[in-house]
Amino acid sequence: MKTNVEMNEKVKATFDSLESIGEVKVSPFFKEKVMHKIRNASEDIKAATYSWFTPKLQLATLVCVVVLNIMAFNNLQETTYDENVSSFAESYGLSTTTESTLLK
Amino acid sequence: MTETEFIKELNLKSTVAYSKLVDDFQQKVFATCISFVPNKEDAEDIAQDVFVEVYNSIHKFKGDSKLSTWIYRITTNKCLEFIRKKSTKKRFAFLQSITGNAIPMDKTDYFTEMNHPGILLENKELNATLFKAINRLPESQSVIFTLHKVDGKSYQEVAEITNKSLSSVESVMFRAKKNLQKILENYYKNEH
Repeated sequence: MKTNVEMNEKVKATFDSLESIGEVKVSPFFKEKVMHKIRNASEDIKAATYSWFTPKLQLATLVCVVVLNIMAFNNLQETTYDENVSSFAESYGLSTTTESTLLK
Repeated sequence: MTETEFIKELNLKSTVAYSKLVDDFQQKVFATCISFVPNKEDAEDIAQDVFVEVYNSIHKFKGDSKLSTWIYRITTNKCLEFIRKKSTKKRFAFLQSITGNAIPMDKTDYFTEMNHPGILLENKELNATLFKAINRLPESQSVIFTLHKVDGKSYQEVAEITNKSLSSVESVMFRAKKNLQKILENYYKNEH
């Protein structure tokens, strides 16, 4: 019986000990540390923005741009040549299409 | 500045706004952390992580609750994450010690070294026993007990943080107290 009472008192004292816990102040450099971490986090976000553009992808993009430029250049050359020939033919009355339309 | 305007500034990642946020919440967040993790260094590390998490996830804050409630929710989750991680490490170290790969380890089953400057010297042992007992409660009960009894938050605040109704918080609190009583009785019985 006595031990039961003692035990209950101990349990009560353990619960009551919570009331005596005092407030702990945060360390004076806490804010500085947090702001430093936040700055680092913002730099990480900026760095991650272009992280998907890997060197392999950069090379592939460069190859695509070069190939497209070569194709476009060739295409441009062919068109100007044909255009030059037809304008020459038209100005000297050698164009067959003009003649046929006139005949009609 | 209203709370909505302040949240807008936080979303724009304004350094001034974050500086104000830290000024306003550092003590409260740290107090919650040290209530869950009674070790000053660990609690400060967790509190720092809380602010970084707020910075990274502010765009997810939809304004369904008060900003403070959302921050305390993050704080509670960070503390639980820390406790889970540390407890797993402790269990692993214990298994290593019994399988022969002896690594010097702390024999207690508590997840951290108790270092709470707010605990009075004469109550050190009682508080340590209580914190260990809280750690043995189911997570939902330990969260509510810690927020209310150790951190000193009201039932209303606890209900908002845990997303539970007031009556539910009260009933969980009642069960937590009962279970703690049992755990402590067993502890003191075995001590004799």
